[in-house]
Amino acid sequence: MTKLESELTRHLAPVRAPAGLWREIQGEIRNDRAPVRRPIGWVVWPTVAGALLLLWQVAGTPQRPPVIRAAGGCGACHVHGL
Amino acid sequence: MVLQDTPKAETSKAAAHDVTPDAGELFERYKDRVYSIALRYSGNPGAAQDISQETFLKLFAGIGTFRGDASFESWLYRLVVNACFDQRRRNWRLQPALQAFFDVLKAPEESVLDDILRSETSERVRNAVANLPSKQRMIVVLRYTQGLTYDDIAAAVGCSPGTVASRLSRAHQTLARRLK
Repeated sequence: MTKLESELTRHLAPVRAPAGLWREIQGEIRNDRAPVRRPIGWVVWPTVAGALLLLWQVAGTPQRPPVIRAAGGCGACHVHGL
Repeated sequence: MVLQDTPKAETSKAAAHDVTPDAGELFERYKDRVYSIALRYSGNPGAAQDISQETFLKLFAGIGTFRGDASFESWLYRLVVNACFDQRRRNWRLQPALQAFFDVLKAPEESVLDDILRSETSERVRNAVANLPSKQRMIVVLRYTQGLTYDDIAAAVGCSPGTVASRLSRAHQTLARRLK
């Protein structure tokens, strides 16, 4: 074994698990709280995408110009004087 | 270290019954190994606890499907390795920023006495290992914390023994350079 290997063996030696670990695991099992760890990206980006889509729908829709009907006027004669 | 297979009776017992009675025995037997790998890989006791917890929950949930094709310990090591990589993947975006933040907070409080009391060599070695690329670090941890053979490491990490040897060799070169 080289000096480096013996140094690594010494400084990366196994350690004892902390005492409270089993209690935490038992709590998880008992409460059936499976570790659902959804990455934050899966929450943030769909929300942002949804918000942008909504914004685009609301603000991005072009205003339609009033259509003046050929025969009967636009239907708002007091505006157009027809 | 040569892997010892868990007696078949133990695993089949755990598989057949509700998880809780045998879970305690399995936990007692393997807790230190799981926690050691998690701690040496992550370098953080809190993260190591999370990794250990996740590993044991997966172990208890999946032990019914363990068919004994491979060694029980190989399967366990694989669960730990995956939990370590998952944990790293979850945290990698925040880690550099948080580390820098905590370094700034910690710096003024460190005294000369702290420096003297702290084992400098251990710190240097662990820092050097912590800065290795993730896969190399895992192989170093499995090799020197658990004393696994190349074949056992390959089974745990999911690559060939040749890949283990080359990654370990590269890790040795990097560590030798950093620890000069």
